[in-house]
Amino acid sequence: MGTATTTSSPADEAGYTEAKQQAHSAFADDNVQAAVNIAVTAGLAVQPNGPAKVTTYSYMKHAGIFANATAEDGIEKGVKAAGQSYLTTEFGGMASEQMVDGSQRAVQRAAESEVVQRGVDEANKNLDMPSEGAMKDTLGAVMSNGADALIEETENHE
Amino acid sequence: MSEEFVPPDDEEAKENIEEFVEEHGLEGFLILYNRQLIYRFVKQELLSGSEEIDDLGEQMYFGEDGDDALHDKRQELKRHSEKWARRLVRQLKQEETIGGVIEADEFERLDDEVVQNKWEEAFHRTLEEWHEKADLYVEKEQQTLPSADQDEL
Repeated sequence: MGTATTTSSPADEAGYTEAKQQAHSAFADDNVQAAVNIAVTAGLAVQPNGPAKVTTYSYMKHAGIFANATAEDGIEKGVKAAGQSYLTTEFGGMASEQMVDGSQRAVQRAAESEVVQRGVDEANKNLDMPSEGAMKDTLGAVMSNGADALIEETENHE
Repeated sequence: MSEEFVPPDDEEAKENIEEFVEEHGLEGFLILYNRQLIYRFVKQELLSGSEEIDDLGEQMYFGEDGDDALHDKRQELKRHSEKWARRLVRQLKQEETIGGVIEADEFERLDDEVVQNKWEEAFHRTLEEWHEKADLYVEKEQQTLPSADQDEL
């Protein structure tokens, strides 16, 4: 649990510790929906929001910019758009696995660089790690599964 | 390397990204990223301090080729995470600037400082609103619960 949140209080933290136990129990009892509901509503909002938001947004942004540029112009342009053009010089001889890994690294470095530039020096492991992981999962899932990366259809999109 | 990852070649990767963007747009991309963020956060929180439940770690991290029931459980976790991600994006779309960017599929405007600030504010506000309603879920998990599909939480 972090310390810089604008919403957290000792009461919140005590409540969350209890809630987390309930989430554990629910998951162990195969009540996955309850476990997720509890972790999201009782846990997500009590994370330190300043640094967490910057990091979370940065990974999302660079991954989105990479994906859009790749969809339009290919992987190399995607990597350039993610702000890591130096990597494109290595691209010619990359095996496919390295290529995807390279894309993920390019986005990761762009996000990390931006977080440093914005002066966010307080690590929040509770959300930094999921943010970085979510970026890698997202790129891996979209590159591998295309439209099937999402479980349900996206409404109102043509 | 990410979960369920199958390395494609360059062209296949590009085609898959193109297919995703065409079918789901920026909104779908934001849902996917936030689904994985929520999924990884929940998984992390379930694992931390899980010593009271000896087999929880095994339930979360059993290999992809392992027991089908455990694989199904992780898929269910992902499915419920996606419901919350959809709810999150739906609520953030109500902010005018964000809604406009999403509707127009303007990926590049994610780099616009105004959009970034609006997103961060709306993200923060939405999580606070969810937290205010946490009592609906905590200690009542055996009862019929509001679904993340419903906006009247």
